[in-house]
Order: sequence, then C-alpha cells, then structure tokens
Amino acid sequence: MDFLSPDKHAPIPDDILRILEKRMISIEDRHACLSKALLEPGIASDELIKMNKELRKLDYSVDMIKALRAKEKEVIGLKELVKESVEDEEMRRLASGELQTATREVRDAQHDVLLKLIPKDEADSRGCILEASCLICFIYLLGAGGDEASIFASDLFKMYEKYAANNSWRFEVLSITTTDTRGYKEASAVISGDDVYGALKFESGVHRVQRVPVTEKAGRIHTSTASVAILPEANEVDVEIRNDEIKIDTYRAGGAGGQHVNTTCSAVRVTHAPTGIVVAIQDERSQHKNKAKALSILYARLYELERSRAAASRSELRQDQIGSSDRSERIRTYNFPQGRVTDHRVGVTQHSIEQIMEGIGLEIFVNALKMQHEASALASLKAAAA
Amino acid sequence: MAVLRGSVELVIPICERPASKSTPLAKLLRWRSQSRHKASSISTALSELDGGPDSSELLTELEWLLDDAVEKCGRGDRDDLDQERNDTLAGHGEIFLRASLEELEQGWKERIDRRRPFQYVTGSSHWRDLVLGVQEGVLIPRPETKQLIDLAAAAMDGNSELARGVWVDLGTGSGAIAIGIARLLDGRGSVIAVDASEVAIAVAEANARRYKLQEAVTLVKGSWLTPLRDEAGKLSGIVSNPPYIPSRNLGRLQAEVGKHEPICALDGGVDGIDHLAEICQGACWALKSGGFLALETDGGEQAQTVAKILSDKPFEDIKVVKDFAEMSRFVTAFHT
Repeated sequence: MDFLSPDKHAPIPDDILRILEKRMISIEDRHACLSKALLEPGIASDELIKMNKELRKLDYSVDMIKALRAKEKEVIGLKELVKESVEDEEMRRLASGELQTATREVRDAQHDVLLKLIPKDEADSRGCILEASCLICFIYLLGAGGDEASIFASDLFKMYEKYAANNSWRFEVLSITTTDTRGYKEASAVISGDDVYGALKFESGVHRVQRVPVTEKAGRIHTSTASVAILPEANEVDVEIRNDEIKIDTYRAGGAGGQHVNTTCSAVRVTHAPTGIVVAIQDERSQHKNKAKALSILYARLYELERSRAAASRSELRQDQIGSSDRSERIRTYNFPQGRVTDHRVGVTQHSIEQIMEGIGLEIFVNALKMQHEASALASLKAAAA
Repeated sequence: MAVLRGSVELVIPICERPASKSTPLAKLLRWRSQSRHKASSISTALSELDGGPDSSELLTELEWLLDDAVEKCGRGDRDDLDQERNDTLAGHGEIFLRASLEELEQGWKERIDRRRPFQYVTGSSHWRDLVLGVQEGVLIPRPETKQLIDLAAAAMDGNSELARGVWVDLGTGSGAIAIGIARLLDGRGSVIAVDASEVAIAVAEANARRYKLQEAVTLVKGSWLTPLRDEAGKLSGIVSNPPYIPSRNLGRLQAEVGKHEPICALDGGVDGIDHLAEICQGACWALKSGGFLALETDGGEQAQTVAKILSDKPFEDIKVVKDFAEMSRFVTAFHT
C-alpha cells in the first residue's frame, strides 16, 4: 500500500476506454483465430511462416491484455469485498486500501496496453519520410490577440515543457517574446527525443481557453485562443564552398606586377558566384591571411543565409499550420471553471485540467488521435481494396 | 637593432625586439596623430607619380608599425585613448616600446620622405603564412611568388618520389621560397638555397632558423647552379624567382623598389631573360630524370620565351601558368 507516491497516470476517459476495449477484443479474437488455424493440417510453408510471425507479434499484446483483465477482475472483487464488509471496520479499511492500489494498477496497465496497441511505424511512415526519422521538432506558439491570449500561450508553453520533461525529451527554448502582463506573444523551442514529432504533431492548431482571466476584475469568463505549430526539424544546416564557385580578386590595378611592385596592400576580394556574396578583406598583413579571413567570413555568411532560409521555410510551414486564428477552428478547449479539457477532433474529454497543465495526460489525446488516424487510414485502405 | 653574422649586420625585426624602451603615452599619441595627418595629405600623389602608396595604404602601414612597436596597446586601445583630452592622458604614464619614439619618428620620416619600403622600416615581411626578417640588400618577397610553392606542391602530389629528394631555391634572397618548400618536404627531403649575396645568405639563414628549418635548409653562396656541380643529375626540383626585369625598365620603377631594393635582384639584362636562360641551361644537367622546374617570369611574352627555350631542351610537359591577376607568370616543366 503506497499512499504517498503520486499517480503515474491520469485516469483514462470513458470514451477512450470504450475504444480500447473494442481493440483488445479484436486482438484477442485474432490471436485465438490464428492459434486455431495453425493447428490445421496442410498449410503452405510460406503461409505458415506469415501466420506464425503475426501470432508472435500478437502474443505480447495478448499477455498484456490478459494481465489487465486479471487486474480488472481483482478490482471488481475488492469492490465487492468493500461493500460486503460494511459491518467490519477493520476489514473495510484493509479492503479499501487494496482497492485503491489495485485501481491504480489497472490504470497503469490500461496505459501500457493503450501505448502498445497503437501501431507506430506503419502509421507514421506511411505519410512522411521526415516523420519516421524525426527525432527533433520545433514548437512555435502564438499568443496574439490580447493579454489573456498571451498568458494562455505561456501556460501552454510551460505545459509542453513539463510534458517534455515527463517524457525525458530535451526542451530547448529558442526565443520568447513577452508582454507587459508576463504573457508570451510568441515563443518557440526545439524538442528532441525519441519520436517527438510523432508524439507532438497533433498539437498543431488553435487551442481555446475559457476562464476568468487574471486581468479581469469583474470575474467574467472569457474565451481566448493561442496557436500551436509543430514542425519537424530538418537536418543540420550544411554549407559547402566549392572552389569553382568562388572568384578571388587581389585588387591589382593591372600593370607589370611581380618584381616591379612593392606594396603592402594585400587586399583580397572573394566573390561567391551562386549567391553573389562578395567579401573584401584588407586589414591583415598578408594576402594569405586576408584570403583566409575572407573565406571564413564568406562561410559564416553562407551559413547564416542557409539558416534563415531554413527558418523562412519553417515560417511558411508555420503560417500554413496556424492559418487564420479563427475561433471556430479550435482543436482543443481548456475550460478552467469546469476543470476539463476537450479535444474536438476525437471528442475526448479529460477531467483533470490541473494535471494536463502539468504535462500529465496529454498522451491520452495523442493516443486517441493516433488510433483515429490509423482507423481512417485503414478505412481508406479497405475502401481502396474493395 | 642589429646582430653581427659573419660580416653582415643582421637587422632584428621590430616585432622581435624587447619592449625595453618607453615614452609618455601622450607623446606617442601626439606623434601618431601628426603622422596620420601627414599620411592623409599624401592622398594619391605618390600612386599617380610612380605607382606608389596612397594615403589609405600609408595609414594602414602606420598602424602596423605601431602594432609591431608598441607593447600592450592595440589599435582599438589607441583609437580610444586618442579621443581623450591631452590633460587626462598625462596621468597615464609611460608606454613600453620595442623601438624608441625617436626610431619610429625616423622610420616614418624615411617612409614618407624617402619612400623607404615599409618592410625595411619594420624589418619584417608578412608572406604567405610566414613572418620573415628582411633588410636592405634582400628583395622583399612578392605575393605572386607564393604560387611557386603551390606549383611545387602539385608536382610532389603527382610524384611522391620528388618529396624525398633535394630541392634547390636559386636566388633565395630572404629564403622565402626555400622555407616554403622545406615545409612541404616536412623532413622527407632537403633544400639547398643559393644566393650570390652575402647579405642574402645571412638573412635567409636567420629566417630558416626562425622556422626551425636550419637542418632542412642548407645555404650556399654562389651564382645559380655553378656551386652545385656535385649534384649533377641528382636534384628533384629547381624553383626560382630570378631577376627578370628588362634593364631598360629599371629607371621607371616605383621608388620603393628602384631606389631601395637590390638592383642585382631585379635586373634581368636586355630582355630580362639573361638569368632565366642560364637557369634553364643549368637545369638540363642538374635535374634528375623526372625532376621538376618552376620559374617566375616577367609574365606574358617573357613567359612564352622561356617556354620556348625549354622546348628545345630535354624537358616535357612544359606549361605556362597564370597568376592571380590572370597574367601568364610562371613556367613549369619536367626533365625527361
């Protein structure tokens, strides 16, 4: 019995549990079906291998489901016991304690099953090569539209920071533009870790908040929005200067040169043909040093150009994602007075807004969205196969 | 400041002297300010006259002179201090110098009034990635000459055997080419540096020592390949920047060159090819089979003439190579 350790996971909403139950049943059915089929005589060897492979894959899931069902049964049993031991104070106390632990264990098991049952690679690699290999993503928040919007944006930013910490991802703040009321007009960060993009991509969109703003004196509930954009981070910026792309001038005015001339002016001008960038250096005492300096400055300028180009294309992607911060396009509503968060895309509501804002429970939405995503992908596959 | 090497007084570059002199900072800055004025007033007068320096070059040189001479007071500091009024500077005390204020004044005067080359005033020449000691009697290394090292490197890349042999720098002067090649050889081969001038031998040896190459570079006094008869047929490479200016052009050179640098390092005879021709002749017997020859010339027509000379001798793969100003400056060839 452990009263002191905090809940590892938030309770899973009923709607998700229903979807989960359906999935578990279909997996158990499939497993049973395959096991029976493999006992039949006369199966072709390659068919045998395929079936066996699938069965082995399902084995692990089925074991987890069995464990979950056992735990659920235990909870039911304990609930009965608590009811029956109304008379016996001591007994009731013991049973209640064990029920609490068991309930928590069921929740943990449900989480594990939930995570296990979401097919990872297939869904993510189907759409975008970038996603499958993406270990870094870029998060951008926009809290334009008043003080409350920017305060909400800062709340969301901190939520993602904590969410990242809970998942042992690296969260590196890139920039934050604050307002007078300590809200974030704009904020961006780079998040890196295992499959971060796959986990966070569904966060892109307009998030709506309903609450009494801190700045509100009359205690009225306001609705505001903040936009989130999640972008996969491309590879490191790479700059290459090729010899055939640069021209080096040494400012010699013509004339004989060589032994005829004694000058201390060793100015060098390097022109990069593809970009038209020109770097002229003359302050070093030898041509050699001026050339080296010019090339390193050229490199730095090309690097900067590449970076801002990458940032600009990111910005375009961002603009596409954010679109018009229209309130009707919100993907999620955070209702503080009622203490709940609803994701409108899967119709899932969680009743633990404090935990959500602490970065706990977002994966519930993520998993539901992934399942929906997979379901629709399967549906379209079926439709295509039909 | 000088040191006696044999009978030669070897000048120590200002940047290598101890900062044992001192002067009140205010006085130094005053002189700097006056010198800047003087340099600015030159404008384009000298460059129009004979291709000499213009004021921006002179102003830069003045700062470099101070960089070499002044201890612990860089350009930025000097600019900052200049802004302050003189009376507040009085409290700043003495500043340490590697050359006394008198020497600096004298040196700068010679620069402006007599057109004494800046490199002789500071006693040093920045060439390639080296800082070489130079003084009157030694030709100041030219930027074009750097390319000879690159050409030698290319030859070694094409035939690694060459890097294990003996290379010769004819007319070594300050030793620039010899040191450049010795660094390429990196201990695998060795260099003989020849010069007819005793001053050049002393200066080149000091420079080799400066770069810890006194084992790799042997100095020989003599005329072109004459002192190397014993090396006949053994040399891997001959590299040279011999005097190549036609005699008739010597009078029209900018004052820094014509009035201060050694004429024997510049005068190439009637068409400027006297020494080039002699070297080509000597290379026939001096180089081993497959040995490399690289020569710097006056460019253009002269380069073509040298190439023609080589084509009548046992050489192959004769090339004329352009310098960074697109002038056909160098001739390279391999002994058959």
